[in-house]
Amino acid sequence: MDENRGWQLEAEVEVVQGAEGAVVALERFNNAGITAVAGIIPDSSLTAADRAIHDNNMVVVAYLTGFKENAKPDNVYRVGTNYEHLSEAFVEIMNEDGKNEVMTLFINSPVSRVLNSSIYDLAGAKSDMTVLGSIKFTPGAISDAEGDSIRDSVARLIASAQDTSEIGIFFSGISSSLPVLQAVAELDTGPGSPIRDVTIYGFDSFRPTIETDAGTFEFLQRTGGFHGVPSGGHENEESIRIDSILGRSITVVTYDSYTSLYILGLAVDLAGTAADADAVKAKMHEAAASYTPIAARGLPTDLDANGDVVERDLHISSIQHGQFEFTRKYDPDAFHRINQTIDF
Amino acid sequence: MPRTSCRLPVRGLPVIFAAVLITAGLLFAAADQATDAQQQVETRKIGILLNHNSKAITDLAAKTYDLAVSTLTSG
Repeated sequence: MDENRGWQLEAEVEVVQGAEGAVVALERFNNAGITAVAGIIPDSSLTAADRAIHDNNMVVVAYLTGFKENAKPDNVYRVGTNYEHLSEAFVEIMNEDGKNEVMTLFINSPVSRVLNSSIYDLAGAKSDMTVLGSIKFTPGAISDAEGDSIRDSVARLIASAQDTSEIGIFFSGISSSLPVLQAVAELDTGPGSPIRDVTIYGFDSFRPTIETDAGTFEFLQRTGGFHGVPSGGHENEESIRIDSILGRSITVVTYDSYTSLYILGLAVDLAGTAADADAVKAKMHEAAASYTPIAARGLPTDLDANGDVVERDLHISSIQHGQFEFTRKYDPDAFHRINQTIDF
Repeated sequence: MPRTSCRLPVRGLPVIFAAVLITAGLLFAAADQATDAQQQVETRKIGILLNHNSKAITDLAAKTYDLAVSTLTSG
């Protein structure tokens, strides 16, 4: 680094598992005089560590959390799309597409269970939507028997629909869940297969996995397609810089992760200290707002009064003309059609 | 990133207090120059907590945090 700089940033890293591990790690940070912390801290860990964070007067910027209420205006700042906004977006997108017979195919993880439950409730509450059912699968590799079971369950729910062209599947798969989609793809036995009528909605972070598996990509093209939420906006100077260093298979996950630490660092810079948590907290909103104009892919980083990142318009990626494109942008009030080629 | 420096809140203050503050500021500035001469660099420590079961996500986050620290450090 530049030796004439007045200060340098030094990060101490704790890698832990489970909510208890997070509490212990935060106590260790505090005992070492470190009160400003950023990181992947899931909702369950934030809840468990709430007292430790508050009693030790720490300032925490958490990423990969989804409950808005886990942001605390005095101590905890939350970066990333919240579950409520994301669930609403999925249901509204399916509804707008006329996919009013909904089934969910979800991974058995805490985040996915919350989203599944929320989508189930939201779709069920709409007078013009019907929930066909939910199918749960385990994270990671699946056995042949599990693949058979998933395929049979999907076929059974499809058969229960009034109109197969109105079926929307919420699929919460991550990169390791490709075998699940491959198992479902085996239902496609040729023209007239009911699976070809359905449309699948999932995380945009799954898109790179689809793009690298020709068989799955071709299967999805034969169906109603795959719509990914949320994808980032168009590339900009900041995203090009980050992508060039970290690699091309980049999604919102990466940018939010980067943001969580970067805005903490900016707050430390503005506060002139990392040791005085109150001083850092006082600069958090200013720091977060200052990054928004240049933030990667135009994802706003401003924080609201509760310390939660502001709700963003969610870009939606879809397969169009043999490739993924941004097709729409969703905000809580409206859809905006954009139809632009994705520039990944 | 700014260098460590003394900022004087003189705007709006009576002149007499401003003069006192400016004098204090010069003293601080001199001290700052002395610090620069010794090329001492203040270290500000923050924590990074990686609390996730997925190694892929943890590894990705570690890379992004490394990049963020590097960017913040290089200014």
